[in-house]
Amino acid sequence: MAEGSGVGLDIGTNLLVSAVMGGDNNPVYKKQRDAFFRITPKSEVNRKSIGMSLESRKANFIVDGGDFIVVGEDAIHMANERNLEVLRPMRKGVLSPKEKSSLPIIKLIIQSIIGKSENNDKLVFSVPADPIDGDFDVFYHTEMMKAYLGEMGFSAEPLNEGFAITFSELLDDNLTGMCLSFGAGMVNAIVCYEGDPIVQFSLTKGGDWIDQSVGKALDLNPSMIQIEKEEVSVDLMNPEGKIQEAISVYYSVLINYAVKNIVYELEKAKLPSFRESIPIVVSGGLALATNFVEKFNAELKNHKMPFNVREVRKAKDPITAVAHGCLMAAIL
Amino acid sequence: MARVKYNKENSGKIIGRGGPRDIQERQRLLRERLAQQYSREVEVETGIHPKMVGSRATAPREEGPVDVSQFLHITEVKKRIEEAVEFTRKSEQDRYESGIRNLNDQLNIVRKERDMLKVEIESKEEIYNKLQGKMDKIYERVLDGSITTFIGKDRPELEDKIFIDPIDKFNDLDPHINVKEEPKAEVRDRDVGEDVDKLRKLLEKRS
Repeated sequence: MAEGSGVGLDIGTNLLVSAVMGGDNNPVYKKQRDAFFRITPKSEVNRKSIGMSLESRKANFIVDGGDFIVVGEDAIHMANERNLEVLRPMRKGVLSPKEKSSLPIIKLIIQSIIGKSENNDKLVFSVPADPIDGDFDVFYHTEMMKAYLGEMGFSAEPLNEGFAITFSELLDDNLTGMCLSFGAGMVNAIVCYEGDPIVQFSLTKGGDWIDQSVGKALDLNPSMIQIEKEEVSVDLMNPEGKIQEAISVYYSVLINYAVKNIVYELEKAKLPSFRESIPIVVSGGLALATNFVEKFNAELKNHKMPFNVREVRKAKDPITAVAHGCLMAAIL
Repeated sequence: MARVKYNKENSGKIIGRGGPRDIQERQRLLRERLAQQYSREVEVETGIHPKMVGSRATAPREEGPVDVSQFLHITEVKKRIEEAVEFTRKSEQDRYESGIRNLNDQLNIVRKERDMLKVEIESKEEIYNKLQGKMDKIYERVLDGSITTFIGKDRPELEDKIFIDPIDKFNDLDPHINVKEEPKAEVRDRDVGEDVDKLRKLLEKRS
């Protein structure tokens, strides 16, 4: 159940983050991985022991007939223990109609973090911009989310992910600047001028692509690379060991790809002449890596942006920035 | 040159003629033919008097007084030569003059055609330049955004964006999910109320 008068929801490929306003005006966040792992017991005895094991490790799971569907963080760990790959309801930032069987799972995961609304509370959820390097649009994803959130009792409205970061991070910059979200499925980019979104687009490469690429290069399971990447906090300028070195290399490749496409798209667009230099805000799970901003800055030096960059800075909290912006839009 | 008789009877076969003896034979025949050519009579084909036609070898070599009664007088010869020269000159002059007239006529026709073509090209160039100027102006206006695409703006569009929920039902799923709140920051750096007020002011200023 929502605590305040509105709910913000960041629907990411890897992570769902909800935001509500607490009693003391503090934002209250909830997070859940949108990942799952199905266990089919071999016998009734086996089924009972698996159930007890899940209860004892306080794992989140769904009972589907005789099967157990482990969801969230535990799903990633259990898949990794068995050297298997965790399943995802979303790919490249959006729900896929092809992943029909996983749709009920994401619906339950979302419900687990936002609850149900009795008062038709306003909820603003994030959607990616149309991709410039993919042949799909976000219509299906947006409509499906609206329908599911409506079923949960909310009056749901979509908001561009980059624009949500603008609300959250550019309040002291007159809503002028560039916001980038480096997520698991996508990179979302937006350029705003005094609150007007001028250019917005997404790229269909992100953290998952890094996991897959490193896994392929080192012949390792991508789930293991994801854990290494997120839990060990890789220093991109000083990686340790073969896995971290490979992760750092693919970070560089991804940043290079993003910056080159950003420059290309901005050159194509008719940007207003900015009187002053503008800030670039980086957000998303990939921005958590140590020295991410330094790596981004190093790449930026090799390219000519169509405006002067005042600074590149990390969002106040790269994980909750989108949900926070959505919450502000919901309260507004 | 002594020749050895070849006794073999002709079998009717076609014998090759490319051997050294054959080449020698052909060279010999060629030499003979050239020698004959040099000794042949030289004929003078034209002349004033029929007697002048003959050969050096057989030309009468009369000795004694020459009878000139059968020849025209030298003045008459001169006159006839002048008349012939004049006739030839005139006929040639007429022929060349007529040729020149004909060429002049042709040249005049070509000049007329060229002038007409020139006028046509100039008028087409003028039209082209005018159109090019108009196109440049339109292109500039499209670039600066003062002209936007109007074709098909009010045309009916296919309403193909239809959402159909692919899930039939999933009531048999029994969730055991408990997500806890994220721990609050020890130092509060965000006040949602303040942030929303700031945002509201910025958006109001814009509108």
